Amino acid sequence: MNLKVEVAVSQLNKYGEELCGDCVEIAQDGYTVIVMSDGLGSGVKAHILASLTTKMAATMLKGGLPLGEVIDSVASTLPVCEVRRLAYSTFSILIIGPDYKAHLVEYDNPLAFLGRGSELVTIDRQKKTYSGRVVQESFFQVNDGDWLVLVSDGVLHAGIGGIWNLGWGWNRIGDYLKRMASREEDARSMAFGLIETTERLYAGKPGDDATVVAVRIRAPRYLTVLAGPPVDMADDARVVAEFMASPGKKAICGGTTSLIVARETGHPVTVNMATMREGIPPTGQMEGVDLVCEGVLTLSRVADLFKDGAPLRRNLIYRSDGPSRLASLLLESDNIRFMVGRAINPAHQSPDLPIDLALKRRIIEDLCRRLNELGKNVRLDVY
Amino acid sequence: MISIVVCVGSSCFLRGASAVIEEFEKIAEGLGPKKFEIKGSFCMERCTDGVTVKVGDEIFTAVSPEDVPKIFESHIRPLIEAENAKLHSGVK
Repeated sequence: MNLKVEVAVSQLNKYGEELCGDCVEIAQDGYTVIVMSDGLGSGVKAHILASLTTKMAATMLKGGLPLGEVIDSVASTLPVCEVRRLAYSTFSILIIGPDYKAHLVEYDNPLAFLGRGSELVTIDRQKKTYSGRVVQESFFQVNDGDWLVLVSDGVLHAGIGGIWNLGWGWNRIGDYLKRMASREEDARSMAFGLIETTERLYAGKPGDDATVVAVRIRAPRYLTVLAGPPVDMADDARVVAEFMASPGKKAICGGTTSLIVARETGHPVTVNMATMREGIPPTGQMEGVDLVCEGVLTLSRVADLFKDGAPLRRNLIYRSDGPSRLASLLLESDNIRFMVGRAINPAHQSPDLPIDLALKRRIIEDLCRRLNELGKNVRLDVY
Repeated sequence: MISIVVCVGSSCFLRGASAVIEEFEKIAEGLGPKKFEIKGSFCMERCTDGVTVKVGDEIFTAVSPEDVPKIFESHIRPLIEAENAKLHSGVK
């Protein structure tokens, strides 16, 4: 079975600090390696301890070195704190192999949450000593629908002495995650949602650095976006047939493109005028296609949405305009293929128009880069 | 129902399709009960001379909001009247 291991991180700095004293390092390449560390103290010093720990551990684990050696090297490299006479930072290491066997090692961090659907599962942990440090180690199999959440103690203590006498606490966070898992679909929404609540519990002034790493395991989602007619009309039938036969969801970006698909498939396009917004053309509908929208204006709005970091899918799903719906489709998908036609619409070359409509190709390429950074598998084919 | 199709593809949209639609909507409202419907189209293959509007089989290009009342008087009102006449003859 081919599953997607989706990983997302969200962090909060201690109030007044410029740097986060928690660090996370993620490597995904057949294996998923996640290292989360909480450095002693806060600010620069904590950040250095934590980033040294995560960087070293992730690099060594990627290289296939045994865990004992990794922990040993980290321990002997960390600088000793002048105040506390300690060389210390916590860590959680999660490795998920290509066979979806997970290996979790936790040292002084809050215990990770493992969920199956909307239920929490108890992880069977064994105490083990690696070069003098007692860690909790566990091995388990993950399946479709499972999720894991790693938190630093800043999340556990959220609201301490304020909203909660002793902080949010592991059990309450577990309940919160169960509710979230049945609602939120992607790892990013879970990580950001948990951090948002953490910040609110701290009343906007976090007393500690807080980090959430959310992992969701599920079947990969596919999306194919057809944008622009092929440069050679003789290719229309072939390109449309390929598009319609592609796995997963389908979106068409472009008026003329939608007409070509309608002609080739015999399914008419209807325009839904109610979805028109200021400066954004409406969306349409066609049998067998999940979204039909206008091309270059919609795409440039989507690019705007991704400009300052990717938007959160949960903020888009209740919007009906073209850019929000396309962005939401892009965010929920793991394997995205853009099929881009190079035919040039002579109307788009007109100097009278307020914006340059010939930019489409560049907008798509830029979008592909941003989606790639989000860990998505993106492919771009031109016709 | 009489349909008026306004192109809302990129080119027509940038050339002011929404203002044309608004103008048609204003006229429709002024008529009281719904006499015609306004539909959108993604492309009418007249991209270089938008905004494109179609009434029945007739295609109008380079339509601006100011042209809308003229199109209404010359092409839509006769259709509405013809439809009304048909209705009344049916009553008899």
